[in-house]
Amino acid sequence: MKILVYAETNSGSLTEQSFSTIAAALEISNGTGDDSSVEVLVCAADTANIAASISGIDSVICLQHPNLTPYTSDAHALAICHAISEITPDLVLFTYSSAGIDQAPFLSAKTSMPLISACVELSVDGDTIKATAQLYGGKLVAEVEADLPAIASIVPGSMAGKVMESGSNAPEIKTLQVPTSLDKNRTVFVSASEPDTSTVNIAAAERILCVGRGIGSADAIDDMKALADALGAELASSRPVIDAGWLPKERQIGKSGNTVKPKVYISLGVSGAPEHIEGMAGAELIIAINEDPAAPIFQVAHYGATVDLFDFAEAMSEKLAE
Amino acid sequence: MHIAVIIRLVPDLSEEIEFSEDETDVDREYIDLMLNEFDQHALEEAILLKERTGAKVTAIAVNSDGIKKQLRMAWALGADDLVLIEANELDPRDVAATARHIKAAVEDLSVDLVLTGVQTPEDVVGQLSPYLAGCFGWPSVNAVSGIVAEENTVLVNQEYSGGKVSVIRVELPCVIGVQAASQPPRYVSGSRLREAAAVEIKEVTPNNNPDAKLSARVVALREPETGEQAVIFDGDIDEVATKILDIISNQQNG
Repeated sequence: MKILVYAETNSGSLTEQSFSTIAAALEISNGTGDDSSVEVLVCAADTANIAASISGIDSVICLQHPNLTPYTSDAHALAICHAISEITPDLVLFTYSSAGIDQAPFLSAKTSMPLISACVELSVDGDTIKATAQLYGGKLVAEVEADLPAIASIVPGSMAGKVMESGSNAPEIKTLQVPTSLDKNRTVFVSASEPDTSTVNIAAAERILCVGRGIGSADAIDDMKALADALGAELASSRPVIDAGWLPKERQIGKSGNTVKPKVYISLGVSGAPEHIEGMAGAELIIAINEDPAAPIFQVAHYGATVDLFDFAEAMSEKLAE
Repeated sequence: MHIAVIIRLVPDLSEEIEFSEDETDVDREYIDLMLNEFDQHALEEAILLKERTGAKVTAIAVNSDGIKKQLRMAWALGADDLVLIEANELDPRDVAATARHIKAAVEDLSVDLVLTGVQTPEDVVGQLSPYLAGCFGWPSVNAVSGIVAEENTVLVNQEYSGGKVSVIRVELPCVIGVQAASQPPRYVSGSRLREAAAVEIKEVTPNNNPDAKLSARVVALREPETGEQAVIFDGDIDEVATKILDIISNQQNG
C-alpha cells in the first residue's frame, strides 16, 4: 500500500512536527509487513532544498509554484487535490495542526475518502485502518475504523518518537506538473508575525506558574501574579485564559502559543487538553493542581493535588511569606 | 454582507462521564450539553463584524435538544435571523452529514461568509468548517483569531504552532473556522433574553439529501490508558503546600 504524507514547511525547511508525522508513516508502513511505500508531498515555491532534507522514505513528490510559499490554505488545497489524483495513495497523513485542520477535512469532502482526526495510534489491517483518536480535550479516546483509501491526521509527537535517520537511503525525487488553477489563489498571504518576546519570554523561564480556565475570572490574576513573583516564576496560562482576555497572548503555553521547557512548571486549574500538553510536556518537573481527578493534566504531571486552587494558592503564599 | 454563524451543542464532560449503552458514544440523554466554546467566539466575531459594517447575521443550527435556547441567545446577542435545520437521526459527530444539511440550508440564504468554531471536543471524523468549504468548493481558513471585512474579501489572522500568525486575504464567499474572537465574547442581559423568547425561528428541512457517504466508524469510546500517573497529595491544605514547596526547592537544588 501507498502512504502519502503532506509535509508542512516553515522558512524553507520542514517543520519538526512534519518530521514526526513522517516517522509515524514509517511506523505504520513497517507494521503492514508487505511492500508498502512512504511518499512525502512537498508543496512550496522552492522545493529542492526541502526535498534534500528528507531521507529514509521511498520518494519525495514536489509541487513547485510561487503561490505555495508562504502557506495559504486555498493554494495548498489545490496542490494537494492535484497530487492525490495523480498519485492515488491508499492512506494520506496530515499533521494535526492549523494547516492539517485546513486541509484534511477539505480533502475528505472533495474526494469522499473518510477521515480520522487527531490520531495518537494508527495501524493498517487489510483494507481497514484502525486508529485511536483523542477526544474531549484528552479526557476520552475513540477506537475508530475506516476503509481504505482514507485520510488521517496525527497528533504531533504521539506516535513514533524516532525521526528518520539522515543519510539512509536517499528517496527518489519526483516533480509533478503544476495545475494552472494554482495561478489563481483565493487566499493571499499579506504578512506574518512572530510572538513578541520583548516584554516577557516565557519560553526561556526556569519556573512557570500556569493558570487555566479554573481561575474563573480576570479578578484572580493579581493574586496569581503575586504568587508567581513569590515563587520566582513567570505567570503563564492555557488558551482559554488568553481568549477570555485575562492575560496577553505572549503568556500563552500550547499549540498556538509558546513551547516551554522550564525546570519547574506548576499549573492551577489547567485541565490539560492535548493542545496545552504539546507546549509543556518537556518541563523537568510538572506539578498540577486541579479539583477534577480525571483532568488529563495528571497524565503528564509528576505530582499533583485535587484541592481547590484558591486555597492552595493562599496556603502557598503564606508559606512563602514565612 | 450576509454572515452565517453555525452553532453546535457539545457534551459537557467537566463534571461527569457517562457512556452510551454500546459504549461508542457518550450518553447524550444523560450528560449536559453546552454551546461549543469556539462557536461562541465565532458568534461574537460575527456580531463585531455586524457592528463595524452593518452586515446581516443569521445564526444556524442543526436541530437537537436545547438548541433553540442557544439560537435565541444568539438573537439576544445581535443575530438578525435564526434558522433551525431539521435532520432526523443525525449523529452530531458525523461532520459529513451535518455539512450536507447545512450546505442545503445555506445555499437558499445567499451567504457571503460562513463562520463556525474551529473545532468541537468531538471532531473524530474531522472539522466542520473545512469540510463545509470542501462541499461548497469555497476557500477555508481555520484557527483564526480576528476578522476584518473588506470589499469582496476578508482579512483573517491564522494562528500556527509556536505563536506564529499570518494575515491572509480571503476571497468571499468562504468558510472561516474561528479560534478566538477579536475580543472576549460578551454577555447578554436577562431582559434581552426574555425578549428573545418571542423571536421566530425559521425551520427548514433540506430535501436534497444526497446518498450517505462512506465515513469512519467509532467502534469504542473509553478513557485513555494512563502510563505513570502523578503522585497525588491530599489532606490538609497546608501540608499539601509544604510538600509541594519542598519538591520545588529540591528540584532547584538537585
